[in-house]
Amino acid sequence: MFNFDRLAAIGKAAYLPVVLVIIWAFVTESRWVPAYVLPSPSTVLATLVDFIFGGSEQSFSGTFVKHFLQSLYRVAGGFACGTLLGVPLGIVLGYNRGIGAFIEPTIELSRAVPGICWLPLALVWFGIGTGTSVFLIALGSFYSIFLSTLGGVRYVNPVLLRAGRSLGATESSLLYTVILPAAFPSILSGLRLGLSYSWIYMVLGEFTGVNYGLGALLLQSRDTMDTPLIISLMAVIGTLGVISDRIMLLFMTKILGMDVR
Amino acid sequence: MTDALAAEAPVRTMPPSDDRPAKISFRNITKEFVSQAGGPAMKAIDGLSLDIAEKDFVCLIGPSGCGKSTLLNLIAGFESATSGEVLLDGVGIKGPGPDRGVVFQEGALFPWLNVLDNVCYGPKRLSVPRQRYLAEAHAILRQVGLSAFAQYLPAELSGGMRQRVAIARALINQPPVLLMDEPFGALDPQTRVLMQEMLLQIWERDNRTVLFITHDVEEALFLGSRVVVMSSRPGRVLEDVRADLPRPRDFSVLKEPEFVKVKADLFALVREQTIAAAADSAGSTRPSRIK
Repeated sequence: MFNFDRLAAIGKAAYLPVVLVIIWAFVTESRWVPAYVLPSPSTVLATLVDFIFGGSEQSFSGTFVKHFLQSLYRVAGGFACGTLLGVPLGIVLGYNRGIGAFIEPTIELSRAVPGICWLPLALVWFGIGTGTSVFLIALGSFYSIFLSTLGGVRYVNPVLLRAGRSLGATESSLLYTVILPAAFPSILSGLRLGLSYSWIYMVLGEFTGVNYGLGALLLQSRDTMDTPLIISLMAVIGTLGVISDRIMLLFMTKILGMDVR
Repeated sequence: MTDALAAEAPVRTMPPSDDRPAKISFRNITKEFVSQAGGPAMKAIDGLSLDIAEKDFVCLIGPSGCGKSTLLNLIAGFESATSGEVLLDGVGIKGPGPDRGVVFQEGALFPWLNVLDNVCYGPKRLSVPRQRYLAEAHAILRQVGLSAFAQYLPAELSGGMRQRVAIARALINQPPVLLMDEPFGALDPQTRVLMQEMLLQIWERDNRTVLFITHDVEEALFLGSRVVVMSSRPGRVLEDVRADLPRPRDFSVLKEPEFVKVKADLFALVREQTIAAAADSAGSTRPSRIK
């Protein structure tokens, strides 16, 4: 059966991008702006296809997979560090206000330092390369993961805790059977935020002059004034962010069987 | 003024405890709440004593804020008294436990568990063998008429169905004491009557000790074998009535003259307390009539 509601929803979402691309094409075709400032949509599309599948003599031709794997490696490593630190710490400090009083103020204070300020120090500590990127990504994703986990665990509806206790749950089983499931939507939204920060800090980390990676190529394409490639890379990085978010959502809901509301 | 009306009200006050031993005892309970924002400490309950006999169905009514829920929270073990003793079978309450089932007003089901898993939550914590608790869960779901909804999530049910799940979840542990905190307060009148009848059917079968909080006089008289009226804050026992209408009861009892009369008396009493509570919270500037 043909689903008209779904079609209508797609139409509502897609009309604006379509209009924008038409205006973009019109502006470039009329040559109001030079092509090196704003290339035409067809040029960008051609560059994107070339970048991903190859076919030309350009140095970036067909190098997508190589750059992508480098960036993915850094994002995965940094995000994993941020998660492995943020989730357990958020659970412990959310569950136990006593311990929280010793650690939370320090974390809050350190959070006031913008992530980008850590870049020079990270370069001194880890040098140019994967270490700096992973560190920055871990740092950037940690705070949102930690804070969402902490909030979710700390502000579980007290009636659910009372219900659990009166039904026979011990304090430790309460953590697994009530607190964590109740906090799960909050933890998941923290992870999603953290993942989007990971892609942001990936670009920052790769701007330090590494050879491979989507962010590194983005910086290199600025040096060669290759605007079609710049726009292609922006589109690629944005799309990867959306795809990774979907994959995580799917993993959490389907594989872990958890319910997101 | 309060005393004058209370004296007029022809409610039959009877000694509540008969020969049965007290299952629950409140001994000279005082409960104060300290304001987090630095306001003066508020006395919710002041020197209250109350014995509840085994297998009695006691309904507690009173104006809002009179401390009825606090009293239930004390016996449930969720809160502790500022002074006085709360005893279950003569032993002090130390915390919540599966020997006292609790049904909350609403929103206390685990939203991530389906109906069956909500009901099985208790026995799983108590390490009851799976085969046994599954059989019991299905039996109890049949009892509350929700067999067809075992796989549904709470969010997919109506308010009345959710409260039936909550009752089933509390009953499966077979607690000797059932504590109910305005469980039908958020339901529409028709659903509420059906729920009351269902609860009576269940209670008349196994005769647990029940403490049932409500602000609805009719509900209290219809369900309870004893109705305790609390005063406005700080809460004290104002009236203690044996509701010895014949059992098994059904909806028709609501029309009997005796029921109507006692209901009117109790309603007047609660109304008086509610007015007193409102005047009290509006400040102490009551107009003086002595002139």
